Amino acid sequence: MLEELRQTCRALLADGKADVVIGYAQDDPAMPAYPVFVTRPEDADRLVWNEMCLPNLVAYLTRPEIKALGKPAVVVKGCDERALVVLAREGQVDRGEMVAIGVACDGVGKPREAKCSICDVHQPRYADVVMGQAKNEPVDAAARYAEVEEFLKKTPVERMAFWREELSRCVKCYACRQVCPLCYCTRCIADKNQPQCIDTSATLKGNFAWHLTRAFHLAGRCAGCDECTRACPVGINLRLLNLTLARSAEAQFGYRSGMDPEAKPVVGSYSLQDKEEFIR
Amino acid sequence: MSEIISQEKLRRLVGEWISAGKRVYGPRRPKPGPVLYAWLKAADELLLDGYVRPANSIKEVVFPRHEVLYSYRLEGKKISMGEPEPLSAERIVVGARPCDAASLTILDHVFNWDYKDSFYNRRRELTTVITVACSRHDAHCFCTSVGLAPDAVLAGYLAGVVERFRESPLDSMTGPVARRDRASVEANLAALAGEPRLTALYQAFLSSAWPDFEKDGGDSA
Repeated sequence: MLEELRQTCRALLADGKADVVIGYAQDDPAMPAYPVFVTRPEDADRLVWNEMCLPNLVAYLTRPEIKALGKPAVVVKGCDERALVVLAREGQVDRGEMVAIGVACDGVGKPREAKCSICDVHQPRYADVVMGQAKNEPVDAAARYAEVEEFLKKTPVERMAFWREELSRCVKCYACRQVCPLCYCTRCIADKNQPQCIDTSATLKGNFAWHLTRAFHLAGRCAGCDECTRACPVGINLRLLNLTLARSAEAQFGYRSGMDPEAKPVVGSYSLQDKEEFIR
Repeated sequence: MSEIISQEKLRRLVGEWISAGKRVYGPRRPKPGPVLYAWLKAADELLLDGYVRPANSIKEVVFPRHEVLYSYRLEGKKISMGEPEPLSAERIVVGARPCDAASLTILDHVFNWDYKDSFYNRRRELTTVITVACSRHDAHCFCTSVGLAPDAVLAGYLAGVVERFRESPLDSMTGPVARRDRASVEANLAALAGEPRLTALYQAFLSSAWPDFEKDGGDSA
């Protein structure tokens, strides 16, 4: 499968179907792979694919410095592909002007990432080419949000105490924002200071302001790649926050972000049949 | 001469410091989450083994994220200014890693080259740092690459800074603030030049950043 991946990428570059392949490279098999931007066919041998290929490379597609390299081809796992579906739906990438190279995935990370235990997209569904074969088994919604259900058993006071403890650690490094494939604004509201809507200080108040804003801006959009959680240097459980909003979007609107390229996004569409008065 | 202190006795000592009103900062038992340096309320919160290093640094002891610098009161057209209570509690950092301790000499320069920062310097005077040698490392550790060692106190760390500086001469040490005007650049360099280990840094600055500085149309009169 690795040779097939390298061969495919080499051909894409050689035939001019892509100017840059965004893929994974690795020095130490025990360490997470890192992104590599291959522009010459002879460098395709640098590409790797294995269970340590954690990063979601889709995040690079919207960056000006990567766009400047020309037409991209990007290696995607099934979960990363969900973010790509959202980007295309939101008009941020033109699927006709890029190549998605899917890789079948049995799960990543040692130990496995939390998202992998409830994954139903082991096999990429919309990629232009797919390497390998994996099976997409449906996963029960109850299992998908089990962590949230468990958390909601706590009292509101206990839940608030949990978030106070979690968010007090935040140092406002904004790694969660930088790594997110769907946080693509060129000017983030957290960086605007006229007027200043978000308290920028790394105090508990400022940290709540940032994390609530980040979560809400991803409500109904977050594709659940968990890169924010993995990037956080102080181990804040952002996954739990994201899952809570994903659970609402599925329960209220039957919508799962990035699952169906044709589905109307929950945020960014409205219906005359909406039960709320104000929207009509 | 070397002395050995058992964990039990160290913990007892930490307990004594806390009850004597000293503020003690050290690696704290996670609750949950990663191991972090934090202010310890009790000696048994101190965690000395079972991890590589805490996820944060000890910077907060000398440079907190936020602090009261002054206060003011408006009464009609009259403004009265107030100053915060001077700090007096002694601080002890226990269980710091050698890399964290080495960073303090860098911070000393940063807070003293243009302006002597009284808030920083007061905290620094009140602070004693006790390091522990590292017995474990992970793939992210790089202290030996910057001239430090798992059991180092401070030796050689600045040599590493010089190397980094050569690769990227316009980094934070010579960024826009440091290059604001010629007088402050010269004052900064004079402060650095007193340090034998910083001579290379000084030279590198002159040979790379200085010509740039003049082209930028800085205050070169």
